[in-house]
Amino acid sequence: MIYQPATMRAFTFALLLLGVSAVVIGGCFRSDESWKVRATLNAALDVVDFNRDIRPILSENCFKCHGPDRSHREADLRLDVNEDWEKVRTFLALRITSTDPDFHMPPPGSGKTLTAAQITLLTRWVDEGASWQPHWAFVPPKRAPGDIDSLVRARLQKEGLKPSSEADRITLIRRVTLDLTGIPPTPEEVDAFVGDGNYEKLIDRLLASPRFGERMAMEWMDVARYADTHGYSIDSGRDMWIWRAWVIDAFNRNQPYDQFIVDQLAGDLLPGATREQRIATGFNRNHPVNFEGGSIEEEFRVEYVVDRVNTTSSAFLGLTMGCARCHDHKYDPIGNDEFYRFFAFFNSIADQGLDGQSGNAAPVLRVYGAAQEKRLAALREQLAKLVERRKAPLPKVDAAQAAWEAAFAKAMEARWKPLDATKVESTGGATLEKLGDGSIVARGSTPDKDVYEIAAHSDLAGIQALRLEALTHDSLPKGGPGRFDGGNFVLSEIEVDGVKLVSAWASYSQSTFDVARAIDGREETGWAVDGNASHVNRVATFLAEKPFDGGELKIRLTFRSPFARHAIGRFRISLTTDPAVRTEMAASTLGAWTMSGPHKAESGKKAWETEVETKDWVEKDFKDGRVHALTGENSATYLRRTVTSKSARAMTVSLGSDDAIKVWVNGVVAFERHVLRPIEPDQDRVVLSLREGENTIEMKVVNYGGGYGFFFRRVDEQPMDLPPEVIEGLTFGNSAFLRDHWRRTTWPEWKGLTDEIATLKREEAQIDALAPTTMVMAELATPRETFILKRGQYDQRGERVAPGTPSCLPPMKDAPLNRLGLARWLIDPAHPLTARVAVNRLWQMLFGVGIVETSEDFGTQGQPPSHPELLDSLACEFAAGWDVKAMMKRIVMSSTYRQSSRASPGLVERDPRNRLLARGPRFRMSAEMVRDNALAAAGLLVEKAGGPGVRPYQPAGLWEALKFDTGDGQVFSAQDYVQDRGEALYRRSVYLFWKRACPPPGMSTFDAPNRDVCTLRRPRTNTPLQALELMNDPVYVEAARALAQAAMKGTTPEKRATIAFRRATGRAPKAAEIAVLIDLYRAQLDVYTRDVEAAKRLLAIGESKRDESLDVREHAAWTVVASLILNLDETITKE
Amino acid sequence: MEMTRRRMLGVAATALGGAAMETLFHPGVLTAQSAPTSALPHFAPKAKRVIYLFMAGGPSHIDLWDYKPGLQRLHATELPTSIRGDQRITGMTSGQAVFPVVAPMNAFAQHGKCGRWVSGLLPHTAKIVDDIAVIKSVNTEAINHDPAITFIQTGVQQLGKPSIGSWLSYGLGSENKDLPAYIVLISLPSVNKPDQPLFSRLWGSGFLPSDHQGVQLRAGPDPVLWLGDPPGIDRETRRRMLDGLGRLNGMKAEECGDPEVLARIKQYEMAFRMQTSVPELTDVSKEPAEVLERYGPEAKKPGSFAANCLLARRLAERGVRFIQLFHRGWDQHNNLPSGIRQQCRDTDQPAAALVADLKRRGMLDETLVVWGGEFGRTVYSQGTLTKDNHGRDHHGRCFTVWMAGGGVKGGVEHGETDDFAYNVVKDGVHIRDLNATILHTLGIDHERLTFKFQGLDQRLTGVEKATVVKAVLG
Repeated sequence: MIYQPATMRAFTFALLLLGVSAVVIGGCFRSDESWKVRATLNAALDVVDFNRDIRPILSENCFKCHGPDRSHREADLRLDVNEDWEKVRTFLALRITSTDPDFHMPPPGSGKTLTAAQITLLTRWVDEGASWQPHWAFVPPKRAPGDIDSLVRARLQKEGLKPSSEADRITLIRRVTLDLTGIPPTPEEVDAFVGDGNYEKLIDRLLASPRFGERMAMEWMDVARYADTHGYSIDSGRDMWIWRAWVIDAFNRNQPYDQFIVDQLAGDLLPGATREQRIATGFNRNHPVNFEGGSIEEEFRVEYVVDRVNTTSSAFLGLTMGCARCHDHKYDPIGNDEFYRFFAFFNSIADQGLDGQSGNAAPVLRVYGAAQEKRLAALREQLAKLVERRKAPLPKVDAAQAAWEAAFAKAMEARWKPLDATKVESTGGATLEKLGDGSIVARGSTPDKDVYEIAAHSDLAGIQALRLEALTHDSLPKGGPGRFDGGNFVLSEIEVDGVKLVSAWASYSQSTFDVARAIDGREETGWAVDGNASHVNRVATFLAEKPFDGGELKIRLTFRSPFARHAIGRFRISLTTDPAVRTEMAASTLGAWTMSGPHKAESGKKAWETEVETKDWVEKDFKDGRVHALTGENSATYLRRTVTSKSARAMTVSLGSDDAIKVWVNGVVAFERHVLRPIEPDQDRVVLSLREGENTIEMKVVNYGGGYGFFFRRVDEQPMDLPPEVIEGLTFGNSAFLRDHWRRTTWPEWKGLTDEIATLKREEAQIDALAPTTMVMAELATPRETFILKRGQYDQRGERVAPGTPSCLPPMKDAPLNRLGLARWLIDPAHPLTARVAVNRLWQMLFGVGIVETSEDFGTQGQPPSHPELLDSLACEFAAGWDVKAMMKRIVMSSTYRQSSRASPGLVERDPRNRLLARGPRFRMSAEMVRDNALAAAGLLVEKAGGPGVRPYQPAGLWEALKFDTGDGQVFSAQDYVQDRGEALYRRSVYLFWKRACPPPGMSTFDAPNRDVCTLRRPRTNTPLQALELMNDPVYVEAARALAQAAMKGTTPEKRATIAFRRATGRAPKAAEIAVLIDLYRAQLDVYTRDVEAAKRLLAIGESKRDESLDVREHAAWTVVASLILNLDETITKE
Repeated sequence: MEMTRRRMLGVAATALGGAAMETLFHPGVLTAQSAPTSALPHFAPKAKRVIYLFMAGGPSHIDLWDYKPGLQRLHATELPTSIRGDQRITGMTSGQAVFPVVAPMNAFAQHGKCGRWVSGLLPHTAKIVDDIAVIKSVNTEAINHDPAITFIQTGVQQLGKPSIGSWLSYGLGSENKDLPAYIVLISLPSVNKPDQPLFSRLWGSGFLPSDHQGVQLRAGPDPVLWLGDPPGIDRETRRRMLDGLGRLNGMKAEECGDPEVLARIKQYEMAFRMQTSVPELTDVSKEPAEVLERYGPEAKKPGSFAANCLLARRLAERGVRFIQLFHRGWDQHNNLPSGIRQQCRDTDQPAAALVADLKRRGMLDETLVVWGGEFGRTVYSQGTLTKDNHGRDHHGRCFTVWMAGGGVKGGVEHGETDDFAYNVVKDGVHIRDLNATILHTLGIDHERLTFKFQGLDQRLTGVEKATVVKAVLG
């Protein structure tokens, strides 16, 4: 008995192992045992076959040192290709049989040993001429004569086995209905087929059923690592169900498999890509996405690209390219450089390493209905016209604007007198040079800390203020205005000898670097301008406590903050004697904003009408004079700040909001406007009464739906009553900004146009808000360069590489070097892998094990096919038209598929896993099918297609224990499980909401993966947790109740038992089986007659309505019987 | 016809013949992939099981274990760039302009015969220092939670690999036929809400068969998913239903010849036994008052770390192979002084009580207890350092893990860090080495516990070299 050693050993471990005494069937075979299996399978070993008999031995024992990996190749000898064959012929037999440890192969320290049988095989092979063949999977398939049945039978004949007879009709219709639709046949369907026996008609009906697409999609969800959450640590929600609907539809309309591949890998790159083709590209966006705080963006972006490589190569090529991420593949001819060439195809996606905080991660596609799409097109056309109208030349208005600008320039010229520095020095050692326009530029060394000392003479008397312009210059890093690498500066202090500066204003201050900090006497704080992000001129003014006279002035600009090398790069100083400056400069100080919310309400109206208890106030960096986005729908957000005024006075502010806004000053309502509108700057001008000292301004901004935001700036207390940006624009010339400002404030038509634009935008936003998005592929305008990453690390770049496919496979011909070219390369009918991998997976779905058992690995370490000719024939046929339904039909029509799955003890022993196919498939259904089968048998299944994930019964607290809670009020989606009601509870399992951190527990219990990575086959375990699930999960208890209810239509206990049994298993129970069921019924009827309350409690489980006319005791007793039936091995097994 | 289970199986045996019965009792035929290839254990084990107290979030080694008297002097001074070197730091502090050194805000003192320095925050653990080995030089490359915790649990930073407990379940199985080999207990800090999420992947089985995944025992009436019978179903009803089910499944087995059906009958029987054994296990009401007292005031509060420590001992007594407790809340980016005090209040006494309890019962020798997180924390302050407040960022270059029992030498200390507790200067222990050491105590050669997946002999310690830390083993 050739299995004996393996069996005994496995048995020993099984005993140790089986804490829950799990028994595993299916899944992958261990390769070291597989050799023996192969030897058995090939009982008639007439001639040694290299690929079948020799390569696996070499791969397992020799390739690691004599294989594809260039960096670890010993003795310059390669055994994976036909290179060193002379050496092999001469020495192999000697080396493997040698008793000299220095000469023996594999070497003693390698942990590898050849068995006697392996040595015999290798020796025989050398004797027979040591003929070499390339690895079978890299050679294009060839059609063999014969069909499925003749190829399977030829093999059986060799093994001395006979095929089994055809399964009975009931078994057959149940088997094929489950296989093609994932749900069982109804008793009526069974009867019809038993009656007419028209198998082909049955197949055609099933293939045409919309349930077919759902059944096929179940498998594809694992391949595509589909989930409704982002994964990683926070695991918040995403919306990819539109992509799932696309997959189901693609299977239902029998989209040719080649197009199925192209659309998913590169639909966006197809000329004139349709919306559907772009949706399809979500395939390679299904990977987990991270946004854990503090993570390094590039590290994760690289992970996503690697994931796409792994998924694409496993799903379509059946190759595990992941090994070549860090080094040459040890076993398959895939080089480290080739991994990164493949990587390059996926490296230019316009996505970010850290994204997904608020749902889908960019790039996304918004998916509208047809009517919405039409309306949007009209809206956008109209909008474009209006926007164009608003900015088109208007001779009169433009002339007035020009005059205004000129007047401003003149006023400025009159007001500000440039300071003529007589001496400029940098204490840090920089070189300060005067330019012709009175500005001073810093060159030379960039000291960590610096002080600019400026000496100047001025004849002015009564100087009120000083103006500092921070200017860009070509000689500065990134253009300046600062000297730091990024272009920023931090001005610690500005000082004028003998003068006290009391008030400061700037056209722009970086958050927490307000200009006031440049006159606060503290070196560690200062004024900065986000110079690393925007390289533009900025202006600041500083007011003297009291007017002072010129003469010899000494001015100091200090750069001594903790930020090294942050000096201003170019600047100009001017002085003014204009007393107007004094009144223009701020007399009150505005504190930072704090925010509470969003507070969600039932509706926007409710949010407006009710005030909630505000708490969890968070400080926010909202800058005045800018539109700030808020988040939330039907929500209110409260914003609060303090204003310290030197006297009791009125302050004018300009507000904007989307939608309604209410303002309180010191707790008294000062303004309210209940309005639905998109936000614009300066929508409302409001005068607020301040008292002397501290005041509190609180605003409430309410959003109904769509965009959400607010705008705030104070209008007076600003130089010339102009917003800072306008002053900046006027000072330095920013025409588009000035034009908008001028037209907004002076052109009568502006408001009408703006209102119209706002209305249209609002409608657009409403359409947007209703339309879901889905994540898609999109290429960057400029492709990223790809480098070999040393040891796979994102920050260890090596040589640059171009996109390309592995050299062990046929070259790309006449195809662009992008994803589209890659997809077309895959679907070339001559490609050795694509069709083989695909038909193998279809076979696996039907028979439980693929012709190649390792359906994810067709490489040299994978299992060779059990029926190579069959695999090749099916692959050739498939590649001729890529017709999935036709291929499924071909397989299920075969006699091989239609065999009875009954196995004699001898056959079980001979071929426990049915690799030889001397009988039909029999194995436990997938997790999804187990649940769908029960719901269907019970009559509860809701056959509704598409839509977002549904959330059925689940024990309380499962998500709670894994929840992410920042504690600061920031809330991510998909952290709390809210069970659905109504029909959502009974939808098919392919629609279950899939949270990666905690997949639907009933699915995990039955071996569903968590979908972090591409999975091509599931193990099939048999555990007590499955028993608990089927006995006690409300979904199955409720199904039992519903099944019992259906059974009670029968008039006698026998008939009732039969109805329930047939619905679950397809067949009528035998007399002995009925007897067991009725015994149980009688005993339970007794129990529930004695304890009616218990019966009621049992019947109360589940939300579906019970037929109240049924007797409670009887119904409960039949529910127990139905539960037994739903727990039968036969019920959860396809046989 | 009344048919006993035994008789039913007898009938099945006759019908199936010897081979099929052998299959039933020798499920190995079907489980070629479910058991490892090399004979396990590889050598005589010291430990039979592991209790792993996982401190999720990254406890500060500086404030608890890695005593550096010189830090008081360096407090609030800038961390020299020579110490920081070219280190990758997280996005949370990489923009920080200054990196002021922060000395622990709690005093350390020497304890035990070994004279171990321990923070005053750990008064109970301080009493068991002679039983534990403190490794101060554990290190990892990961700097963010998800990759780091995935790394230490599965041996790689990327997703999809089996966790350490699953490897042990696969390699050694359980000693208790009524309980899973790998059990996970998650506790909630008593005060702060944890901002560190957990995910079932951390105790997932990756590419190993899914029956090796960790089974989470939850606080409350249903510790295992759907353990309890539904309302209206009493034990007698369940027994009756299972008897009927067994008979029908037996008939099926007879008819179809698939040994899998008989295996399923066994699983239902085990489920039935678990329905009794698990509630008995989680019911601590019969524990003597003085035992509960030792575990601290929270021992009776289901779901607390204390209650879970006690539960861990009960699981260990029942032969569960790998018991992992997760306790969150150690991620002190800010408010570290108050945060860590609270964390210690929750965990110090129960963890020390667990070790002492095991010792008292003579179980410590065969039970390895591990205490540690996914990384340590920076010596410099994250955010503003004030007189009594500061934070610390993630730090993978060194952190402290302690181990006790299971063949580990008590009272030893291993590995050394520099004056800033920032870099390893002697005897670095990579997390791969740590995992190799854990396997070693169980009699496993980490290079030989493998599983073929994607064409490779995959193992917990990955492809890079890992060394057993012999210095801490007795």
